[in-house]
Formats: sequence, C-alpha cells, structure tokens
Amino acid sequence: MLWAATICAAVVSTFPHPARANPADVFGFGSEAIARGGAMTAVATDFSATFYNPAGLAFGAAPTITFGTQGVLSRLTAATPTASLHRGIEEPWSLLVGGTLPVSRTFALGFGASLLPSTFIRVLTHPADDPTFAYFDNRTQRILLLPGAAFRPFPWLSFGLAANLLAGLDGALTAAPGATNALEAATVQEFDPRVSLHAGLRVQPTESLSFGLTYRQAFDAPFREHVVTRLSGLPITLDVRQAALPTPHELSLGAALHLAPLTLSLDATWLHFAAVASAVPVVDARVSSIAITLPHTTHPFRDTVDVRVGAALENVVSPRVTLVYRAGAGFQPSMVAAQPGVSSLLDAPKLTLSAGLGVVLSHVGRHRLRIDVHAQAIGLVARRFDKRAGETSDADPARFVPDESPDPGFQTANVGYPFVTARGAVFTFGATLTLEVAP
Amino acid sequence: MMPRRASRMGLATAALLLPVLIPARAARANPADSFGFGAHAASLGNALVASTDSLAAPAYNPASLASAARPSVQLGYLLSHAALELSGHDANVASPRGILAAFALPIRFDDDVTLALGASLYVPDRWLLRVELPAPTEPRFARLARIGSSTTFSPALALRLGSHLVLGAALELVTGATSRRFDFTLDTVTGRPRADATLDAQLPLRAAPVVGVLVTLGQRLRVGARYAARSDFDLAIDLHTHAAVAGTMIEGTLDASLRGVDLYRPATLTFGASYDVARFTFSAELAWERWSALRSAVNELRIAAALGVPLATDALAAIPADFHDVLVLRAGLERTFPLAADRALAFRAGYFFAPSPVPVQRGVTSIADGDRHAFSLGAAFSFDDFGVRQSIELAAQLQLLTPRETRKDDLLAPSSDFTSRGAIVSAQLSFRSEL
Repeated sequence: MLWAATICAAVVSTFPHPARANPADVFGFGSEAIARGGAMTAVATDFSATFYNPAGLAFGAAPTITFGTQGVLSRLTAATPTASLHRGIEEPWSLLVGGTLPVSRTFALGFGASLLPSTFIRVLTHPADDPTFAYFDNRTQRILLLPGAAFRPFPWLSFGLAANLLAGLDGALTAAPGATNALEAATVQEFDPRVSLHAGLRVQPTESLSFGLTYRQAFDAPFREHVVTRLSGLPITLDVRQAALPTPHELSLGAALHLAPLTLSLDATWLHFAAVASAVPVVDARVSSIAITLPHTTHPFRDTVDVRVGAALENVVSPRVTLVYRAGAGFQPSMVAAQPGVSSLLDAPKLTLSAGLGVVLSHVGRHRLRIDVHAQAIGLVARRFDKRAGETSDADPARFVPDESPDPGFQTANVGYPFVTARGAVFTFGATLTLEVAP
Repeated sequence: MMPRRASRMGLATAALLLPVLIPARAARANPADSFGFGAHAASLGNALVASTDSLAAPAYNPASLASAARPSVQLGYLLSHAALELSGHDANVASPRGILAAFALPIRFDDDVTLALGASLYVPDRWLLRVELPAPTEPRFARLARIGSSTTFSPALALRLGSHLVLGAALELVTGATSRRFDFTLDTVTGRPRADATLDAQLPLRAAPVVGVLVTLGQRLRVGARYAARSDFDLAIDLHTHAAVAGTMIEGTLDASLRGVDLYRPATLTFGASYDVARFTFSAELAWERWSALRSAVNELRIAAALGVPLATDALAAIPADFHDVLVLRAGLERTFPLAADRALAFRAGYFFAPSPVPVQRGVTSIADGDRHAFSLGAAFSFDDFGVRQSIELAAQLQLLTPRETRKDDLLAPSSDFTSRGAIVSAQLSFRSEL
C-alpha cells in the first residue's frame, strides 16, 4: 500500500499541469456505464474503467475492443421576464473507442477514447453577461484520451492508474511591416501537453462484494492568444486568456453487491468545484499607449457531493444469447452560487435517470460480442438567479449590475436583469459494440 | 460456410477500403518519414514497406500488421539534435524528442483469414503540436525545422487472405488545421474602459488515408507497396476588433485574416522488397514524394482597417512554393545471431537518400534546405521472460545535409545571399513485448 501510494504521489507530482474537462465527466463513459447511472467505481472492468476506476482493468478476463457512439440533446432554457433563451450544447455527437489487454494474471492495460467527429477540441467563450449553463457549456467539446494500467498483486486487490491526455493552446500572432515594407505576419501556435491522472483502488473481499476508490485530478483548458499589430506606427495589442472546459478534483467511493443474476452498485463523488477558476475570458488590450482591460469577475463555485446508484440484471435466453437489463439514477447538487452581478453562470440541482439494454452473443466465431444501448435524462430543478442593482463606482462586477446610462433611472443592457431562471433537461443516447477476443 | 466467409471478407475488404473513400484532406509530417518509427525502423534506414514488423506497420505499411502472431506492444523514445546552420550561424532549429508507442492485435477467424488491428502513436514531449509560420521574407529551414513537431496517431487494420496476400489500411489522425475567430470589443461603459471578447477556437480532426499491400513470394521474398495521402496543417486565424477608445480619434473596426500551411508532408507512393537469406534480411525501397502539390510555403495576411485614422494595410502578396517532386531511396540490412533457444541478438544498418524538393531561392523568400544522406546503425536483444517474448532495441542515425549556397540574383530582393548546411543526429530506444 505504502509503495503504491508513493508511486502514485510521485507520478502525480511529475505532472503538475492541469489538463481539461471531458464528456465522461458530464454524461458518463460508455453505454453500459451510463445505463447504470454512472455508479461504476466498484464494477467497471472494460475500457470505461480508465475513467471510473483504472484498478478495474485488472479484473478483466480477455482482450476487448469497443466502438460506440453517443448523442446529446439539450432542452436547457434560460428564462428572463421577457424571453426564453434556448441553450444548446455544441458538438453533440461523439465516438467511443476503447480496448483492454490483460498482459498477465496480475497486470493489464487499457485505453479509452471519446472522439468528436469533426474536431479535437473547441474552445468557446461568451460575453460576460450572456446567460450560460456552467455545468454543460463548453465542457464536453474535446477528445478524451485515457491510457491506463492496473496491477493486481492479490486476487482481491488491485491498483490502477490512467492518464488524461490533451493540450493547452498558446499562440502569438504579429503583423507588422517587413523587409519589403509591406505588412507581413508571423505566428507560433503551441499546443502544450497536459496530463492529469486518474488513480484507483479496488478491493473485492468476496465474490459478491466489491469496493472502489478513485481520485480524478482537476483539469481545465488553458487557452491564450496574444496578438500584436503595428499599422503605420499604431500599435494595437490584444491578449485573451481563459481556463476553459474546467473539471474539478474528484474523489469517488463506490460499492457493489453481486447477487447473481443481479448486480447493484452505489457511488458517492465529491467534486471540489470551489477551486475551479472562472470560465469567463480575461482580456487585456492596449491601443497605442492606452490600456483597456475587462474587469476580472469572480464566480464562486462550491463543492458538491453526487450520489449515483445502478443495477444490472442478467437474463440467459439461450447458451448463445444473454440479455442484460440496466437502470440507474443520480442526484447532483448545483455547484454555482448566486449570480447577483454582471455574469449569469446558471446551474441547478440535477436529477439523472437512465436505462439500457445489453445483448451478449457468446459464439461469434471464437469470440464474444456485446451490444449495449442506453438512454439518459438529466433534469434540472428550476432555479432563479436574482440580480442586484448597484453603484457604478463598485469595482467588482460580480456583486452588482451597474447603471450603464447617464439618463435618469436605472439603465442596463444585462440580459439577466432583474432575474433569470435556469431550467430544462439534457438527454443522451448511444450504443457500444464490444468484441471479447478469444486467445 | 463459404457464404459466411465471403460475407466476412467482404465486410473486412470494405473496412480496408474505407480510408481511401475518405477525402484525402490534410494531416501532417510524421517522424517516421525522417527519424524512423521505433529503433527497428530507424536502424534499417526506414526501409520497412516490405517488412514483417507489425508494430511499425501503421507508420510504414499497414499490411504488415497481419504479421503479428500474438498481441504485441511497443514503447520507445526518440532523442535528436539538429545542428543546422544558416550563413555560418546556428539556425535555432528545434530538436525533436518524443515518445513512441504501438500495439498489434491479431484476430484469427480461420486458418486462411486473419484480421489484425493496431495503432501507432508519436507524442513530442515538449508540445503536442507546434505550428510556426515566420514572416515570409525571413531566412529559415522551413521543412527540416518542422519534422517531429506534431503528435501523430494512426489506427490501422490488415486482412490476410491465404498465405501470400495481405491488404492493409490506416488512418493518420491528426489535427490538420486550426480555426480561430476572435471578436474583440474595446469601448467605455459606466466611465470605465472595457475589453470584452468572444472566441471560437477549433482544432478540426483530419484523417489522411494510408493503404498498403504485402505479397509473399516463396519463403524468402516479400514485396510491398504503400500509398499515403498528403498531410499538412492549415492555419486560419480571423480577428475582428471593434474599438471606440475614449480620448482618441480611434473609432471603428480592424479585421485581420491569416492563412498558411505548415507541417506539410507530400502524398507518397512507395515500392519495396525484402529478402531473407541465411540469417540476413536485406530491404530496399523507392518512394516518390509529390512536393509539387504544395501551394505556398509562406503565410498570407489580409488586413482591413477603418479606425478613423489613416493606416497603411498593404500586405505581401501570395507567393507560390514551386517545390518539385523527389524520389527517396532507402535500404537496410539485418543479421540475426541466435544465442540460445530463448535469446537472440541482431545487428542492423541502414541508409537513405532524400533529395531536396526546395527550388533555388532567388526572390522574396529564403527557404533553406538541402539533399540529405542518412546513415544508421542498430542492435536488438530478444529474450523470453515469464513466457513473454521481449526485446530491447537501440538505433542511432546521422543525417547529413548537403551544403547549399543561395545567391539572390534579383537586386530588389529584400534578403541577401545565404548558405545552409548541417547535420541531424538521432537515437532511439524501444522496448517490445509479444504477449
């Protein structure tokens, strides 16, 4: 235990840079897992273990290859006294690719990936006063790459580690007169590697009982672009920075009860949102010698504890075909505090319900094929955010909505004034195909 | 039985053809083209198109993937140092370093048909991707400076039909472009200056198809062919700024648009053969690289300003690349020495010659380049451990750049004469395991 903890700590300290949020955090990873409500910390053994608990990889019996797809449908609404603003989720489709490879009885490798069909990553920002659903907006528009490994020194105990890989974006662009006196541009765009870790422990004291503990390191997408133009001696400098696609530190504790043919699982996850940076970009500009800066806003998030439960029931139809019925539920408190000022980062307590079906075909050539489908609904308990009008001299735009006009009376263009209500639901659906390869 | 097999083969063949049907739109320079993917390839001068190396297959010939007898994995590291000079001064070319990984998984359906899956991954250890487009008139090594600057992931599959023919296909999945759109607003609200921004930045996914065939003739001779579509990185940055700066005459808009191509790798067609005799394996191949399709090697800027003050916005016009196609020759030799029933040693040597596709620079641009001669040596030690076949491999490579002197005949050219020369040394360490 001590050496494993030491190794984990050493590896964690080797990669101090945060990476970024991912679709698995928001919706789940794979049809089986989503159908079981995401309560997978103590039961995942396939590619999804790279996210839920890498230690589970060592409990897999055979090499597996998985392909799948998932869609998201948003029905989120930001309602003001005068309008209802629909808020979609960009890049709603994703592809899943995964695999596991038991190297020996004590060691296994795994890989899980969620790919967007058209882009590796998409960073989106909105004007500071645009009502935005903080939990869903621009947190899933990235690929997810999770290579992992697990070590099982005893039949009842395993450790696992997975790396969450991606990049931060840092660019610079300069446009100025060159050797011919015509304007020339030079640019460098760097995508720096970012790694965060998923570390897991799984204990299975009996055939019917298992426990899991997983730590997922926090990450966000550091994005920066620095632009300098010099036209006829007039310098204009623009610098925009953002920590996009944030996900907090997470600690999941799970338990599972295997009462064949029924398996029940329970997860509780602490999410340290209080340490998450603002999702609003920081802009610094300079025109000639005049500095222009976006007032930095603070958006206090708060920690939450999510609870998820899941069930899977096996039904052996014939020696070749087994059906698996799955269902799950979860509750996630809101991580967003009140929004009395300029910004309108919206969120509400969320209730998740999910269901799915698995079909296991035991004799496909020499191999075994599993087809899983799922549907999931995440409903928001409607929540109202009231704005507070304040003195224009107040420097903190997070506290008050300022009077923007010198005309008599209170004048503001803030969309969320005097209040905005967050409500609606998000639906996901998808399927995966898993081939268990015979030796 | 036959209809089922035919059906499976039809599906597999369709899957192999799928990458060809995907539009061959841009991906990027692959370190395998220059340094070699893994120590085995590096030490054989990258002459692997007719090889049975399943773990190098996604990079050289996806058909070789079916040579895997068991699930296999590889992990390696590439270290290099570029000592390139421009007019006697260090050209400050980055030296690529990175991690290489690969796996191969054979899936047997019956004695005659084997489907194999695999993938290769190269990740630079300092950045996942670096795109650099200097000012068009700046002297630089535009091509050699960019090798190994990007992450490359290549999933592949192969289908063995009988004992002689293997078909393979791969997709080189990379970020083939970046698109960034910025809208800045600079004005004054409630008496205070305000800067606000919205942005939409994407790294679109590109898939460059690679197809290959491997034919075994008799017991000793293999013939291979591979076609890889072109790869590049399209950069597009659009900037829109609305400014109304209090206390100045500046009020209006500034629009800037930058387009450019970096990390270009041409479409490549490779033919090669590999011959086993005694304990020797000799490999040779010829690759045609279509550099002439590169439209421009420098970026293009467009600016429109209406800020209420007179500003000069004339930018340099687009400059065609005029690169030419080249034939690259590669050869490798390997000798194996069995040490015991469960151990073996192998020594390897290789060479390749890569002519420069860059034309003489007489005008505005000053792109340095030169023909390259590459010499490589390597060794591998294989052993059985815990019932698993494993090997440790080493390779070292020296690339010598033929000196080139560029004289600007055009007196109006903005830059002066320059010379280019240098060498790139690299080393690789790989660990392989056949599970």
